[in-house]
Amino acid sequence: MGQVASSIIQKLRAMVEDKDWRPIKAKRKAITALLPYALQEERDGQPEMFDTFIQAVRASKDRDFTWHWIRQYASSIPHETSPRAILLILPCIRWGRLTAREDLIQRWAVAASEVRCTEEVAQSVVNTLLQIASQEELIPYIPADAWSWLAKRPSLPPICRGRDVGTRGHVVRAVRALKDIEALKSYFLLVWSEWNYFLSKTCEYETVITPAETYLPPIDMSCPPPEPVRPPQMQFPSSSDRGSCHSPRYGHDIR
Amino acid sequence: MLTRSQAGLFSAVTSAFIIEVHSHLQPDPNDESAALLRVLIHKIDNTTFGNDPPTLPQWTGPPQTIVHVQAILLASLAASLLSAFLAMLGKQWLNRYVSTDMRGTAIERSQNRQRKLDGVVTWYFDYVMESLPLMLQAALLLLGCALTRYLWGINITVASVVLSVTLFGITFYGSIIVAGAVSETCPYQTPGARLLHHISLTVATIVHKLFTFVPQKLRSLARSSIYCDLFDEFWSSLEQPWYSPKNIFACFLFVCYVPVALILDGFLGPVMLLITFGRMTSDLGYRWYHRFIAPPKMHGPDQKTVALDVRCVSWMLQTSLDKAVHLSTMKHLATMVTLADFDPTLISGCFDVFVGCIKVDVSSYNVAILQGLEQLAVVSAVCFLRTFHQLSVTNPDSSVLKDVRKRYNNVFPLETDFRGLPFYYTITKIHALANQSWNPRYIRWGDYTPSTQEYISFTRSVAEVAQVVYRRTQYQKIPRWTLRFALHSLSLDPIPPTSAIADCLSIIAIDLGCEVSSTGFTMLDERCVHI
Repeated sequence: MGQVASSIIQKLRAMVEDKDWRPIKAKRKAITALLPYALQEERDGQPEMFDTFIQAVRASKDRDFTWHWIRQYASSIPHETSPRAILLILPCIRWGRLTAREDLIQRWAVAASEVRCTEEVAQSVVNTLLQIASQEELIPYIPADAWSWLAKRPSLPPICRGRDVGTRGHVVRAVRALKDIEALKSYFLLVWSEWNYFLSKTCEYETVITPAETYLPPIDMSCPPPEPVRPPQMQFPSSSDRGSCHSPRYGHDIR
Repeated sequence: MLTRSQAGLFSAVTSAFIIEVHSHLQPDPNDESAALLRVLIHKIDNTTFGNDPPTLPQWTGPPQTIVHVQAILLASLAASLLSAFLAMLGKQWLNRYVSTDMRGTAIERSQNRQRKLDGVVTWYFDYVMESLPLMLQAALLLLGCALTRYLWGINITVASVVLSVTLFGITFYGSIIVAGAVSETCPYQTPGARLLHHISLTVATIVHKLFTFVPQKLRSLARSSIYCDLFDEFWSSLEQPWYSPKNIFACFLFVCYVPVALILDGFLGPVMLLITFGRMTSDLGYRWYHRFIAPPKMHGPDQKTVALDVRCVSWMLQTSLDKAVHLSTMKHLATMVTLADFDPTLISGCFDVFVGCIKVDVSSYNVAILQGLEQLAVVSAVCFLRTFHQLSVTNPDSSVLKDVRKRYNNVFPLETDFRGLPFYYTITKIHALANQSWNPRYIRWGDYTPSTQEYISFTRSVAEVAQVVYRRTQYQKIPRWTLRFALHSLSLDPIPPTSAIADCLSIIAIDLGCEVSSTGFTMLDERCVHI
């Protein structure tokens, strides 16, 4: 078994190093079937297969990489699974048809609070956060602490399901409802960094942001306007040119 | 032995005639003496013979008839002697074949024996041995022909009797050849009958292909023409007869278009031909590349050894009636890593052993295991499912499969109740396979909770199916349900046995195209099938 497993790992590594996403995508079902075994190995202190699995998922450039049959397993990930594994694996799974999602959110939040923050972990947490938030009925179950991960502003990968589904109207409303201007600012910066007009839900995003008075819940405007922030990677216009992030025209100007 | 004694008898009979005829091949001294006496008498009294004085005869060689007869008789004798010689050699060959090796383990001796059996098949030993009676029959025919020809010159009446008997023999032999070729159940089977049957089948296949291929080709050629397409389209669009006022002008224009269409046909024809040729070449090159140049290494031990083992198992199941032998053979079969391309008759062997352990109550459709055969019933069920499942996937149209299904349904009616059996999941799967109602694509694996040993054997068979299909699809893919099964098995809590996990990983490895050495499967060999 050890030899078979190591052979699989070598094969996956070779596929990842080839930098060709098509073979990986073509074998997504077989790679997905590896996940339970990879998690088990990771629990036993052998994270090679799990790490290779995550690398393969990222190299596939596919937002819906995992096979849908994994959802039954994902809904009941063993409790012995390490927090890091939970945090890294949950963004790879579509939340739409999972069962026992509330419990899973709790476990995810606990795992996020336990693990040391790194760029990889922050990416996954924010990605998952946005995916969870995209399911409107799950927003009440997201702990308030979890939203604070937005402020860490990890650089989301170019193809990221969280960014795509996280631009829905109710997500924006949910972030605004936090009444945390820093979180709102970070949210916009995150979802707009490397934003692809054609891949994102542009129209919905636009309508949500533009007629703010119509769609958005009232915001306490008494809070002080935020300091203009310019992230190092992004080429945002200055606040003097564009106005504050409260401006309903902000989205259009960026585009 | 019989052939040798028959050959000796034939040789003796033929030799007697040869000796008889041989005297005619040289000048007869009695005739010469009589001629000399006639000359002497003529010298003494020249009136004895009248105006016809005797002369000394001049030997001009034997008559042509005698030469022919003698040649045929000698050919008959040679055939008989050759037959006896080959029969003697055959006796030696068979002695060597039945000799038992006293060295090595039982498996090695079995493999050696199987090798000898394979050699017998490969070198057409049976054909050689069957040629001995043929040679004797040919010798008999030659003897009959020679006798007829010889006696025809002496006395036609006597020759007619021999000719009649010879003709009767030829007609009878021809009739049994035809009868044997026409009907496989005819007891008068001869090598000639099989040859005739084979030739007639080949001829019928060629004729059938000719009569189907040529019209199809003609039709496809006609369809590939642009003009024909346009004409079909145009003709089907006419709602009224072509000569109606509404259509007559359109028809006139269409006829004018004929030369244009023909020119287009002429131009596009070679281009399409080149494209088609290019596609065919690239496809062929791709297939050859993957088949001969870059085939991934397949899993498991040497295929030849596996095939040899499987044939050994099959032979033992077919020839032995001992239940203990059956049990050990079945256990060996259950623990084999792979079955490779096994002989379909293996299924029949497994089925026979399995049915021998089971008793079905016809009135209540209950199944019970015969006392003392519980172990054998379990193992044979596992082996039967394994072989049945694999053949159902690899060759669903196999005649053996149909036969086994028919026999199975005779033993186990559709309403059979399998509850309470220790191999419930195995037998229900067999039942579904036999009734062709088992479709793994729609199985909810969550509901599949067999015993450990059933799970192990089923996982093994799934891995085999994946491997076989992967090879059959030119190393492209495996059935999706096998991956789903692997995913389900790896997700189980508590985790399945180690060998089942290894098999599931093998399924995934096969789909990923991994090169796994045979040592990776050592554990599979050693996995325990606690029965």
